[in-house]
Amino acid sequence: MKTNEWVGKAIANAKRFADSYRVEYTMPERQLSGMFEIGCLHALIDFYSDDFEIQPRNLSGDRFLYLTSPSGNPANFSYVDLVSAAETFQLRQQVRIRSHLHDDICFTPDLVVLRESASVTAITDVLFAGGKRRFFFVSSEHVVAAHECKSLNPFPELLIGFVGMYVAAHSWVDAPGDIIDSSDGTHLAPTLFVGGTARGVHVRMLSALSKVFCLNVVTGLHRGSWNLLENKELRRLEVRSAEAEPSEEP
Amino acid sequence: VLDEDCSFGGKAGMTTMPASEDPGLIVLRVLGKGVDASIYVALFRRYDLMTRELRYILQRNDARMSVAAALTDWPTERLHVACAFNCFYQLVLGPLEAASRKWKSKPFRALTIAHGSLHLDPDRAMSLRVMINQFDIMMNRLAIPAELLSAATTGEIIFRIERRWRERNEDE
Repeated sequence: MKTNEWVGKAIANAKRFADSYRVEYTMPERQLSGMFEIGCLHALIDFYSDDFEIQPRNLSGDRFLYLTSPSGNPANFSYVDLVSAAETFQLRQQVRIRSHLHDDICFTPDLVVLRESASVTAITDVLFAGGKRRFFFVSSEHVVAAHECKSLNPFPELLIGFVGMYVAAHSWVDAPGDIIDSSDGTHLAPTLFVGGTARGVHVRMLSALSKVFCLNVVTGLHRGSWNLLENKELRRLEVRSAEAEPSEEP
Repeated sequence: VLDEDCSFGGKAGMTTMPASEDPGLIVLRVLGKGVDASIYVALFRRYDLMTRELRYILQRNDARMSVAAALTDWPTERLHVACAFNCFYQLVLGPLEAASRKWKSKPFRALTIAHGSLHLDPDRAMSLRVMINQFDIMMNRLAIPAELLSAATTGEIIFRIERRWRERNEDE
């Protein structure tokens, strides 16, 4: 086949595809990135399915109301309870975190697993929406793991940006307490989910980051395997519940 | 079905092409028609970067025999079309493929996820899978390997073409 013929075939095929599926793939950018995030939410839920009972909460009939922005009141949206014999955790999306490092350090991970004790605080701040809307947040003291979803190809600055969130969102990084790095843990360590693939020095950088920090960078998620349980190299966390802690008797 | 007997008559190594004759741009316009304005802009910005990089690689690699030989089957027009499909996959279909997987969690199988005006349930996920499958069939028909769609840069596309060419030659 000559190049011109092949090009004609490519254009004709593209036209047929677009005519058949344009309605399916045309949507606002925010919803498109939301679709990737929903894929990550499912991957995370599947990861927890082995050790926890999955209980969607705050539904509206049979609808799971997906919080799409930190401006929304989390009380009006759905979330997932991860129930184990020892403790129940919450998996939420787009909940703003106030860092233990400083009260003014606030940011919103895409997905976050919180202790049962976590509560959403609402304050009014004139510097936020002129004081007309409430500023919702959860203290990072309650965060088990904050995850980010990026439908991009990984690049060094993206990875280093995630390290910043890792440090600011997890008080256990500096003071482990009852959340510890453990290969047998039932929680996924903070994870950056990336749609694109990595190559060359970037692969080495991903590997180095998860050696230096208790975090994961999972790449190639547009096409790759979404079964996180298959990946034995992923860093995990163990959360010791109050009842499980050994008593300190004299 | 792969067109194993394809031979491409274009000029490999041709580094410039008028926009009106650029088949990649035509493909991108066809696929991008009707998409959100910001995505449309992002598609063309990425395509522009990729084709600029291609021009640079083709000029720089004039002396590299292995690249030139590997690209015999990949005239510039074909590389441009591959770049256009790469842009569309990376920015539009990739995120949708992520949401198209089967929902394993039992409690979620009976739910619809409402994300603003978007509603996603297992049926919608299945129709997304059908679309992705049709896209894969189209890529197969055009003999564009799937690994070119996930490439981050044009350099990576050329690297993967060269690697396939090297592996094929070693097998022979």
